[in-house]
Formats: sequence, structure tokens, C-alpha cells
Amino acid sequence: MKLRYIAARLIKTVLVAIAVVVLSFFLIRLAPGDVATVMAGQSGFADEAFIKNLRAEYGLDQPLPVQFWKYASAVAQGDLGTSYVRRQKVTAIILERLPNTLLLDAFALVVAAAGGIWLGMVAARKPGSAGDSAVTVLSMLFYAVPQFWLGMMMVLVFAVWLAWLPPFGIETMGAEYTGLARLGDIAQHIILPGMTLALYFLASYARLTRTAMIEMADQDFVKTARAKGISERQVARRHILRNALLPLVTYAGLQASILVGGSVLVENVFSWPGIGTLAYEAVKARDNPVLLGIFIVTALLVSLFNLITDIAYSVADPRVELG
Amino acid sequence: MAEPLVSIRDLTVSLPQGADRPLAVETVSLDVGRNEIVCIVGESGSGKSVTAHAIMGLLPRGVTATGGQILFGGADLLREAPEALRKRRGRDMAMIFQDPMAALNPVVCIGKQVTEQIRTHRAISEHQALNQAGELLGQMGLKDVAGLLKAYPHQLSGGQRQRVMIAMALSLSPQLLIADEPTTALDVTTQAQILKLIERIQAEREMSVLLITHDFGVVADMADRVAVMRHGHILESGTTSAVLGNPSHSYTRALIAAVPHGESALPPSPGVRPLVEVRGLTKRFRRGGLFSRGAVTTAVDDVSLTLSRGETLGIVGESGSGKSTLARCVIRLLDPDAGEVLLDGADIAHMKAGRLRPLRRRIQMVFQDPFSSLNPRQTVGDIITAGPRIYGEAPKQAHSRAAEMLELVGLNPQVMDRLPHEFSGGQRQRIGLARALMLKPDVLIADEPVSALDVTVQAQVLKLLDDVRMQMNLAMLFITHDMRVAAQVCHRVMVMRHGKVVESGPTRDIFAAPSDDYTKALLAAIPGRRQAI
Repeated sequence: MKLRYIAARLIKTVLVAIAVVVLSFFLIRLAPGDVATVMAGQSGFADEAFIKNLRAEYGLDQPLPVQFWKYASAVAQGDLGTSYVRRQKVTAIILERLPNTLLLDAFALVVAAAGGIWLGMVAARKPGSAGDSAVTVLSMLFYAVPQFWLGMMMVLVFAVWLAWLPPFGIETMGAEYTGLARLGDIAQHIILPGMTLALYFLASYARLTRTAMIEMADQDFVKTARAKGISERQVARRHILRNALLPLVTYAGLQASILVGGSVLVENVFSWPGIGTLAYEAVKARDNPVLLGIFIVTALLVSLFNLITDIAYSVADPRVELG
Repeated sequence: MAEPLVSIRDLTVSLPQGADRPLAVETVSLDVGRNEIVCIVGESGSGKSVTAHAIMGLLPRGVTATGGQILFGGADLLREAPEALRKRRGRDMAMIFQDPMAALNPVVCIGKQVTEQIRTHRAISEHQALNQAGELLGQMGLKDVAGLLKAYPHQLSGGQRQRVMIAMALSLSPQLLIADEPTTALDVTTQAQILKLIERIQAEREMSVLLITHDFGVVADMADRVAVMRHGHILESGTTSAVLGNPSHSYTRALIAAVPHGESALPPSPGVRPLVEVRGLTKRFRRGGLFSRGAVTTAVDDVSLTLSRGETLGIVGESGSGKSTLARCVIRLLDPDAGEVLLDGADIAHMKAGRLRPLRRRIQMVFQDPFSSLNPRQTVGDIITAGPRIYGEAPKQAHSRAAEMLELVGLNPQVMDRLPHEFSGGQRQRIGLARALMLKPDVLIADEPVSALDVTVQAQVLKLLDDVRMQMNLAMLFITHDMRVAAQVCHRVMVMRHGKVVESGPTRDIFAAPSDDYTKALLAAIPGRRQAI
């Protein structure tokens, strides 16, 4: 039953990927201008012949259906094409950047979930208390602050004024650290962009946890737990929190899906060499093969994360069956 | 008399500000002796549950015991340190609750939930505790114990869950078991089994049981002594035979009188041409999706019935018998898979929506839960005039008819501007009835209309339904799980089980001489039959 379900989901994932290929291929071409006009502009001596040559080189002079057929058949064979600008295989470029984005996401996910759940528990312990209000105010703040501004303030305070943490990149340029030293270096670099990404989600986790815990505390099985003579700590941990975490599984899956495409804003503010910065560069340069490749890989990953979320949920809640 | 195990002296419990009254319980005194079953009987809001929770030290936030004593083996529980009281819970006294589905943690397996209780109080290994848990479940009459220990609550039936709750409560051999309406959420036959189990365990272990109930039938079957509560006071208490045989307080007499007696007063109705005729109705439910084969359950299996004007047909069955699905098919809230529903000869089971619409007003329904069946954001006036306005009645006329209708169901017409939450359960059910009657239906389907109500209110609503049926010459389909209620209002009954009709006929005949074993079991399960009340 389970295997059957997972197989069915994977088939659906392929359907999603096909839809993404078709839609994004044509939608991207609705935007005016192409890579030839951008390159011509940059080179400074834009004559018609130059642009025509470029277009012919990239196959952009052919009719759209022909272009699509060529692209689609290449993708079907696992070839996402070649970047116009870098002249490298798109697959190679994305595979180089993807781990950085996933690392940043994982950091943000863990910080947001751990911090948010802890804050939510503190707030739910005594609803209406000073601690609860403080958590509410803090959450509202994190919700409301625009991410790019928060990122810049992070740089200003922690990198410029206090000089505690490096502001840009994933590691110190030219330091050539290896082993543990390199890990430590990356850890220092991840804190500012990671926190910037995490805070918004942290606020959501705090609010969700608080609400779910207050709701669960009213359930009959919590009364049963108290009637058993279990200590309040154990009641909160084993019975209230265990059930309150269920909706958070769904939310964590959602967060992973949102983040996997790379945060264009945050990665650019911190020059984090991930999918987000890559997408930004590709848009600027009209580097369509790269952009399409990002769309396809992201769509596949989102489908995959959704599947993982559903499986995780059915494990966490025995009442839910896959299918 | 030997010193009682529990002695409540002048207990007063206050409610938080803004509640409908300042005190939940006022100067209540009650003893529970060793080796006896004491019942507290009362309707909702009487303070019976609060009293029980006060003993356990489990009063909800904001509700506090402000006066009196609760002596347990001589020690005053109200003055005990929270930690000492916590250690008593589960060890010296244990409690089981009304809804065994809600009372078990849905994401923790049964074994773990039982061992948690044992290991909180005793330093033994999980393995030893699990062995004990298995033994206990066996003693509760549960089968396949090894499988049960690994199962989750949703995989168990209601009766099994309540047995698990009882096993858990008894795991440390407490001296006192408090059971707060332990069978109210269960089917009648299961209810009888659980009550028997509690009785057996009490006798075997010679423990004290405090049983909270609203049902005098349960009191008659179970209790050694009984206390009647109302509005936070104990009105009278004494041995069960004394209170039942010779009640001194008028409220007690009213409560006892309100218990349906399970004897049918109504003669079968004269056979006239039926208004509704159901033939071979079948409804199946499928589960499954795009890529998976679904499982099929037949909820209603080849059911036929007739219903005439002025007649009430009772459909009796336990949960899962298909009685509600049948009702929903008759009113075409569900599309049946096979069979016909003839209303005045026209088959409405397969009629197109457009042709069906004008006929819809002729069949109306009153639902079980008066709390969720009324839109909380609409005024009573809006709710009961919505139907006629949809059928094109002028708002002014609908409004004046609504006033008459409210009067008919025993409500003040001035309540029209108020919202549903301002009414009690019984009043809401009257509003629901007024809503249905506004469309001048020929057929009224009442789906468990009184099972969410207190006994005295239940009696009033049943009487109202019967009066309305006579006045408006309605054909009534009355769905219930309660044989006693069916006996009171139905001319004929149809007993359903697993989607099939097992027996049907005039109520009097079926109650006097049931032919089917299942019907016999249902009748035998009625509480209070062992001791006439």
C-alpha cells in the first residue's frame, strides 16, 4: 500500500515537472528582449549583424515550436542545456549552487523550528502572562520586518559596528581553510543570512506552537494524564507538546518548499552563492536555460519535500494513513 | 457505620468571574464508604462533575475550592501539597471519563499509555510494566491483548477504549474509582457491558466507586447509595431503594418521571395510503483515489419502509447501523446507489436537482446537535425565515409566521433578534424544530433530536414533537439509539444493524415480544430494567 502510494506520487511529480517545463518555457519568452540584446548592450557596439549572429548561435532564430521541441527532448534525456553566459552545462552550475542553498535552508529551518517551538511553549505555559505578551510582540516584529531591511541591519550591526561576524559570502576569500577550520569559517558566514531567513519562520512556529498547545491543554486526554498522577512537566512534554507538534510538521514541509528555490533577496544581500543569487544573475542576463533549469529542479524538489512531509505526518500521527 | 473512605464536608467551589453563577458547588456534604458504589445524579450544570473533579484535585483553571474539606482516609485533600496530591492521583484514587475516544492520547499506543501510569508511581522496568498492562487488559475482558498493546486508540471501538481506561485506572489498585458519566458516549449494548464490568471489579476488589450519571436507570442498576444534585446543591441522598422508592424532593420525582420507561403507550397507526415509500434503498461508500482501489462499505443495504401521515416510525440502531445514512438518503442529502424513495408516488431518489427543488420543502429535518446545527452568526429570526424567503415568501409575512411558529414550539416570539449561543440546548432544539416547520413540511425527519439533552428537557422536547406531529398531521421518521425514547414516541419501530433491517413492526409488539436476538439484546441493555423505577 505504502510503496504503491509513493509510486503514484512519483508519477504525479513527473507530470508536474512536464507542466513546469511547458509553462515556463513559453512564459519566459513573453518578456521582451533576449540574451542577444543584453549582450549587445554590454559590448557597446550593437549592430544588427552581431545580434543576428548571436541569435543564430543560440538557435534563437528558429521558430518557437522548434526551439521548444529541441529543449524538451534534451530535458527528457536529462540535459538541461548550456548557459548562454557562462558556456557551462546548466546541470553542473545548479549542482554547484544547490548544496549552498540547501545548507542555508537547513540552518534556517532548524533555528526557526527549535527557537519558535521553545518560544511557543514559554508563551503557552501561562496564556495572558507577561512572558506570553513578550513572545507575541516579538513574533509580530519578526513577521512585520521586511527581510531585505532586516538583512541590511544585521550586516550593519553585527558585521560593521560590532565586527563579530563576516557580512558576505560563504567562506573567507583566499583563506583556503581546510577540514575543521573550513567548517568553522562556513559556520561564521552562515549565521547572518541564516538568522535573517529564520526569524520570519521562527515567529510563525512560535505562534503555531502557542495556539496548538493551548488548544491541546483543554483536551480530555490531558485531564487523563493528570489523573494518572504524572508531573506537570511530563504532561506538557509527553501529551500536550507531542500532539501540538502535528500541525508543525505540515508547516515545516511548507517552509522547506518555500526556501528550496533559494531566497533571492536574502542570498543577494549576503552574496550567498546559492540558487537565489544564480536566479537573479540569470534573470538580469536573460540566461534562459539557467532560469528554466532552476524552475525544473525547484519544482522537483518541492514535490519531493511534499512527499516527505506527507510520509513524516503519517508517521507522527498514527490516525493518518498514506493514500 | 465504619469510617467512610471519602468524606466531603461543606465543600464550596467558586466559578471564575463572568460565569452564569458565582458558585459551582455550595456546601455539599457526601460520604463514600469503603466497598460501596455511590451515585451522584443530576443534569448538566448541577455541579456533579465539579464535585468529582474537586476530589481528584483536577478542577479547571479559575475554578477553585474555597471552603469545606475533602477527607480521604482522614487526610484533607484540599490542604494537601500539590506534589503529595499528584502522587495520590492514579495510586490512591483514579478517574475515568465520559468520552473514551477523547480521553486517550491519540498519538501514543495503548501499551505505552498504560505503562506510563504504572511507572509514574512504581520503579519497575518498561518490560515488567508492559506485562502488568497486558494482564490488566485481559482482566477487563479484552481479547488479543498483545495486539492491543501496540494499537492506537482510533483502532479500538468505544467499548474497548473504555475498558482500556478502566484497566489504566485500576493498574495501581486505587481505593477509590471515580467514573464521570462513563457510558454516556457508548452504544446501549456496550453501556450495559461496561456497567457490568465496573460492578464486577468493585465487588472483586472491594473498592469504593463514585459514579456520576444523569440516568436514573443506571442509578437503579448500580448504586448502593445515591445523591441527587441540582444547581450546586445536594437535594436529597440516601440508599438507592429509599430514594427511588420514596423520593422526598419534587425534583427527584420529576427526574425519575422523566426517564422514559420503555413501555409503549401509542397504538399502531391505522393503515392509510403511505405518504413515503422506500423500496430497496442501498447506499455504499467508497474510499480511495486516482491510483488506488477503494474499499467499499455498504452503509444501507436493501432497506424498505412505508410512512403515513400522522404516524411516527422509529428507526433504532447503534452507531454504524446505517440509520443516519438512511435518513440522509430519504431527504436526498445523499444520493442512494439503488432503490426508490417515493414521495406521493414520485421517486425523489433519482430526480434531477431542478425538479427536486420545489419538493424539498416537503421533507424537513431536525438534527442531533443543537449547538452545531444553528449558524452562530445569524439571529434566530434570520435562521427560521431563511427557508420561506428562499421559496419566495414576503419577508414581512415570513416574519409574522415565524412569531407564531416560535410560540407553537414554546418560545417567546421576542427572541427573534437574539443569537443561538444565548439559548440552552433544549431551546435551541425548539428553534431547530421551528425552522423545519416554517416550510410546512409533510414529512419530518428527526435525527437523534434529544440525545444531546438532559432528561427533563428530553421529555419536554419529545412531548413537543408528538404534539406538533398531531397538530400538523406530519409523517415523522424518528432516528434514535435509545429504545426507551423510541417506545415513547413511535407507533412502529424498525431495528437496524450493519445497514440491514433486523426487525420491524408495531412498537408494542416488538417491546412485548421481540423475535430477533439483536433486538432482545438491545432491550435487555436498557439500564434500570433490573429494578423497576
